[in-house]
Order: sequence, then structure tokens, then C-alpha cells
Amino acid sequence: MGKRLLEVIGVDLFYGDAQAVWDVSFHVDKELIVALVGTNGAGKSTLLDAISGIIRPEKGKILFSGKSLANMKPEEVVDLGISHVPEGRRLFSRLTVLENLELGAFPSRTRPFLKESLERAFSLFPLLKNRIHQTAGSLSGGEQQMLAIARALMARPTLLMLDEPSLGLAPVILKLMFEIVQALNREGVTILLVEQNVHQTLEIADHVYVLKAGKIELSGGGKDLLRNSDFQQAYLGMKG
Amino acid sequence: MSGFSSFGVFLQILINGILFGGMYGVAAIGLSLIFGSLQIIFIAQGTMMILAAYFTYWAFTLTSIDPFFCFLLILPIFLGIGWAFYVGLFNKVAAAGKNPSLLLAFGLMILLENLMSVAFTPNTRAVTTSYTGLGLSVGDIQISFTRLVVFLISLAATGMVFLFMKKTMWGKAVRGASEDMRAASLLGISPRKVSSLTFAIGIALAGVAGVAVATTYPFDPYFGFVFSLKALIAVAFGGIGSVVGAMLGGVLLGVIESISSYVISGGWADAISYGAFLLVLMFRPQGMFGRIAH
Repeated sequence: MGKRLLEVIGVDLFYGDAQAVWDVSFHVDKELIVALVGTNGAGKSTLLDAISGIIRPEKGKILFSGKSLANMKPEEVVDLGISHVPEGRRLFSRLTVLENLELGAFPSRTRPFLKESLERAFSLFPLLKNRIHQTAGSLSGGEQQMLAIARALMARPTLLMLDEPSLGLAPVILKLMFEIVQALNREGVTILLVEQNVHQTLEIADHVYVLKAGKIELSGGGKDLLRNSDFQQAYLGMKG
Repeated sequence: MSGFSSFGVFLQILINGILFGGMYGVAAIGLSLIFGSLQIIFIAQGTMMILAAYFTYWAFTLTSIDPFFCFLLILPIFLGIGWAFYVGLFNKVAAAGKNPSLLLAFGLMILLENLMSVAFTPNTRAVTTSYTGLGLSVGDIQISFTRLVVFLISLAATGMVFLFMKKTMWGKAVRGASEDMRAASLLGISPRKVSSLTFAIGIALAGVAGVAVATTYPFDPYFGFVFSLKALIAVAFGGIGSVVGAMLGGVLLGVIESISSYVISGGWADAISYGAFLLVLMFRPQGMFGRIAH
């Protein structure tokens, strides 16, 4: 096929002694927007953590461009071209906006492109340009989310994983956020999106996996699921 | 100023305190970086200073290497020791939490004290160079040449660490990682590398402070613990994780000690500095100098 960028094959994941994910398989094809949706605790973030190398699967495989990510540390995974914007953004709040962005280009593969990447970040997020010497902690929630995405892009990823980018954002900003995700995708960045904001996610996602209690319950095209009556009842609160 | 016989005396005591406090400050920066980034209370910091003081002493006594030149040798050696301590020891217990690291540092302190005592005898040593007695006179005020040079070296070390933290990619990585190690690793920063770098810089600063001790005070193998305590107080004054704050904290502590030993008596200097330490912890746990020092 040559289109598979990421393949997760039959993974079991644990947090401590508690199993969070059971035998989950899914894949992300190049240049698509793929989403994992489901309620809190369904195992979505855990899957991203496993792809990033923060936790290790007890069973199963994770392949990126056909290469196994087993035993890779987070700092090695990002060097392969997978950037992960974790839940809660996790910016360095005492560092300035510029310093946060610079650290995004830390891998030696991406450091030579620092200037170029900064320009790209400021053209995508013009708001940040006026704030470069402010500390990240002083930004508003929406600005912080933009900085988190901009910082992840500094590593010039082929796959960008976003964990709940819409969390806590005002509706106007939220709309902008989804537009930015689409714009990035049009530039050729493959997106793996974890969201609880199901409706907007389905509108933009090429393919969606629905997780429930650590298992994949349903999957399909975003627009198809919007019309699927079982799905509507369970996740969109509509009567079929 | 009723406690002082003249303004000149007050100024003299203030300068003595500032010069002495610079030494606390350098040791405190190391402690502050190690605690701020790794949550390790490196109680052996003062003992590492004494190890550097012995190094300076023996280099001077056996091979006549000038103590201030010795500083250039101690810097890379102590960077290496710091790196080895982290990779060989602290990295292995870091996951177990703060207490095992504190115990390890404490054990290291006792071990080093006794090794030095066996190897070098517990006798008090002092480095006496041809310029040790030199002083500069400005009006009524006497300034010891060695203490002044030591203070300037301390300021230079502070400046270098400050610039490293602000201007270099690795320095920024150290600051970022001290806030959120997980987030740093997701950006490609290796926790092991950034931690060993932080530890190495912290220990190298103990080396700098050790040269300062050797050239200005007599010392013995057990002299280090008091310096660790003083450096901890300076860290509390300056706010954890702040380079400039730790230096200012050290200078403030030096001044408090110097003034209280003159106005009351030498025995009270420690009581007053520990008292000030408690007051700071109770009322300004974020440090005396606020955000400017970061």
C-alpha cells in the first residue's frame, strides 16, 4: 500500500496494575486526519502515550513507516517525526513563548531549520509573534493551546498527535482550532486527533475510531458516523 | 547605626559580609539547580567544596600550582565527578523518590569526610601564598586581595551559569526540564542527559566554591557540612531554581552573619541566620527576590 504511516496492532496497555486498553488495533494513513473519540477513561490518551514511548505495550506492536517503535524512548520517537501535544498542553510556563518554541526544535535533525520553523509558526499563529518575550504561563488558554501546537510543529513532524486540543477553549477559539488542524493537514501533516468534542471532530476527520472502555467499538468515516443512528444515540445524544 | 562606632566600620563589615557571602552564593547556585531540576537535596555539596579545597591545597603544596590557576583544573574535573555521580548513583535511585536520594547524598558526605580524614589526616590545612596577606586600602577600609579575587571569580561563575541557562539550547532544556521532565522528553530532550548535565554544573560550582574556601580559610575534612547548611539557607533566601537569586541569597546571608557577629557576638551569628531562614520559610517560601531573579 505504501500509505500506512502508523499501525497499532493488537496492543494491551496498562497503567500500573490496571489495564486501560485491550487488544486495540488501528491505523493512520498518510496525509489524513484520523480521530480517536470516546468518553473519559476510554483509553485514548493511553494509546498516544504508548505511541510516544511513555508507556510500553504488554502485548502487540506499534509500527511507524513500517518500523517498530518497541523499546524507543519518547526523545527518540519525536526524532522519527512523531510530535505529541499532550493533554493539558504542558508548556514550560516560566519560559518565554520564544524559548518554548526553540525547545520544540531541540532534536538535532530539526535544529538547522530553527529560523524557518519559527517563521512558519508565526505565519500559522500570528498572535504568538507579538508575545514572544512573554512567559508561556501568562498567555490565555487559547494562546497556550496554539503555542503547544506551534511548539510541536517546530520538530517538523510527519505525524502530529493532538490530545484534546479543544479542552477548555471558548467556542470561537475552538472553531479556530479545528480550522488550524485542517490547515496543517492540507500542508501535508498527518493528524491523529484525540477528542471528546465529538461533533466537530467528525466533521473534519477522514476516519474515526470510537473507543469504549479500552476497546474499539466502532470505526468509519467521520461523515458516515455522523449519519449512523447507533452512533448518534450513543455519542451525540440524538434519538435515532 | 548606634551599634557601629562609625560609618567606616559599618562599611567594612558590610564588605566583609558581601565578600564572604559570594562563596555561599556559588555553592548555593549548584544546590539550587540540583534541587530545582532533580528534587535532590544534595547535602554533600559542602563536602564537595572541601574536596576541591584539598585538591587546591595539594596542587599548591606539592607542585606549586597557583590556587587561582588550579580553578581551571578543578572545573573540568568536578564537571566529570558530577556527571559520574548522577549517571552512576543518583540516576538509579531517582525513581524511588526524594528520600533515597537524600540518604544517598548523606552517605556520600560521610564517606567523603572519612576518606579525606584517612587520606589527608584530620589536621586543619590552609593555603598560604605569597599574596595571601595582601590587602587593598580604600580610605579606612581594608579589602583582602584573595577574598576580592575569590568574590570576582564567584561573580564570573554566576554570570557564566546565568548566560548558559538563558542563551544556549541545553541551558533552556535544563530550565524546561526542571518544570516538566515529561514534556521535555516529548520534545526530544533526553531526561538522562539533561539531568546529568545539571548535576555536573552543580558539582562544578561546589568546586569553584572549594577553591574560594582553600584560599581564604583554614579547613579540615569535616568543615563541609556547615557550608551545605549555609548554602541551603542561601537557596531558601533566593528561591529554588534561580541562579541570580541563589547568589543574592548567599550575599545576604554573608551580610547578616557579618553584621550580627559584630553587633551582638560571633556566637549569635548562626542563631540569627537560622532564625532568618525560618522566617523566610514561613513568610516568603518563594524566596526574597521574587520573579526578577529568575
